[in-house]
Amino acid sequence: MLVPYLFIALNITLFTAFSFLPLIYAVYISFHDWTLIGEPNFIAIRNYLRLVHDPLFWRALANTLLYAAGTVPTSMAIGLLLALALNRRLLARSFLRSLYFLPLVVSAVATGTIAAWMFNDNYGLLNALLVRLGASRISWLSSPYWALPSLILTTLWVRVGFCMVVYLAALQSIPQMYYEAARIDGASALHQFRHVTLPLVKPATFLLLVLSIIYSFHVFDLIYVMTGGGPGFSTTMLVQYIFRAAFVTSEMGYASAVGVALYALILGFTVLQWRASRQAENVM
Amino acid sequence: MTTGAYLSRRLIDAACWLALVAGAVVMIFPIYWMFATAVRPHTEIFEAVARLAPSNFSWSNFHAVLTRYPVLTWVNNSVIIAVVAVVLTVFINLLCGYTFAKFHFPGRNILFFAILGALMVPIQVLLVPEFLIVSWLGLLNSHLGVILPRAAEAFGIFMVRQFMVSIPGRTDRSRPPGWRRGVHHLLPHRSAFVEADHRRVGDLHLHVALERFRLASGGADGSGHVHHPARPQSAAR
Repeated sequence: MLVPYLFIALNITLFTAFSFLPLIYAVYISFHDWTLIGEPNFIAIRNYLRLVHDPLFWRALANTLLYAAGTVPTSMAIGLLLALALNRRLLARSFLRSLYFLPLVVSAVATGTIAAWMFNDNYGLLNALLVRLGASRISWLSSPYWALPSLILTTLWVRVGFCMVVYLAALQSIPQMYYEAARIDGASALHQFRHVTLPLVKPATFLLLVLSIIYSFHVFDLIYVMTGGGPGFSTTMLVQYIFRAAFVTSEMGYASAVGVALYALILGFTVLQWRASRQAENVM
Repeated sequence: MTTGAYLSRRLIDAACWLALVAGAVVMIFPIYWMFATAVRPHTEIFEAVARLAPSNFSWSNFHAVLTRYPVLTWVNNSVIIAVVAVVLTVFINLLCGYTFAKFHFPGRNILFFAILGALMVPIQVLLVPEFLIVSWLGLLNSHLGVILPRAAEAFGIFMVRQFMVSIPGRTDRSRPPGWRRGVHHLLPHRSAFVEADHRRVGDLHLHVALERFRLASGGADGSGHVHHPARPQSAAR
């Protein structure tokens, strides 16, 4: 009876010290006015009231939702397609797999730097290509319209490799006999995909959905490097906003309140997904 | 299989392969471009017409990095932290994810959701309290102070659990698996799926460890003896 608790004891201890306690502290601080120096000053729910009436918060929330909508479904769909293709017996497929995984190994700061350079209005490669093709230049990162799509493209470049690896592992654990049985029953390739592959990669889909949404909601360094949240506030995400409140304007209480709100939002999303996928047996 | 089916299969393979190679070129290009920009002569970087290959290789940028900054110290710190963090993280999170997937015990769901919840808190909110706890433990400016806070990784637990869940069998609601059966299941040679997972968690954790390193060392003390290449503000992706 004690075995499972023994197995998770070390993990839970570390979690308590470095995640649960800090989280409780953050919730506590969100009811205070605190500049990081001196004693926190209790102000009840005033931080949350301020948040509800702050247009910048809503702007950051909308940006974050747009960014998530642009990155999560696309990266998962492309990742699944890549995994399906790379699961076939092809020439040099391990090498191809590692090429797709490679962008994930580059740190976000380096990715942001090189992407900002490629998207640069005057010296960037993309505009040079556009000019050569006879099109006009696009102000990728300096116009409010193109800044978010540029960020989404860069994120996809990093993230499809991750989705590919997770789906690939899931595909490899599907026993071949299911496909053989389906073929004997006369199922076409499309039928096999819909009725064998998709249901059996469901745990991986759930994992990717939850992780991708969390990553998209937490995006920070890529944006910090590429646009700094601008132009204007067109690419300011919730975490940028938290960072600004915490470490630029030193309003730790307000920053914690936004953090708790973001936490509640992601938690809500996850519970919804969990409910939706719970019918599928074995997912959770 | 008929010849026609075989031929059409080979045709699809060829089409897939060509598309994959084209995609791989797109994936690898920015990394090449990073390298090409690093070795280009300065004047060529600011030309409006982008040249695919540098006209001349100049290694002065690399020389400057190696001589002006304590890069070797950084590499040394990164290697120590990455190795220790990966070993520790893979061990405890594999064990934990496995337990959540294959055992049924009171409090399991609550604990799992608490851990999953920990993944959802933006790290910027936790930085200050984490710093206070690390300093209270006397781990400030040490490698351990960077490794421990991120050793228990909700991401790893969640990932391992999802893969273990998809391995058929072994889950027995009425009879929890015994100690020996459990440990056997975890051993690499027991199951190809689990083995693949070991390696993947290892790869990803190396990556995550490096990411967290930048964050945690920044959170601890940017000017401390733990030198790091990134700015202190950088955070988890």
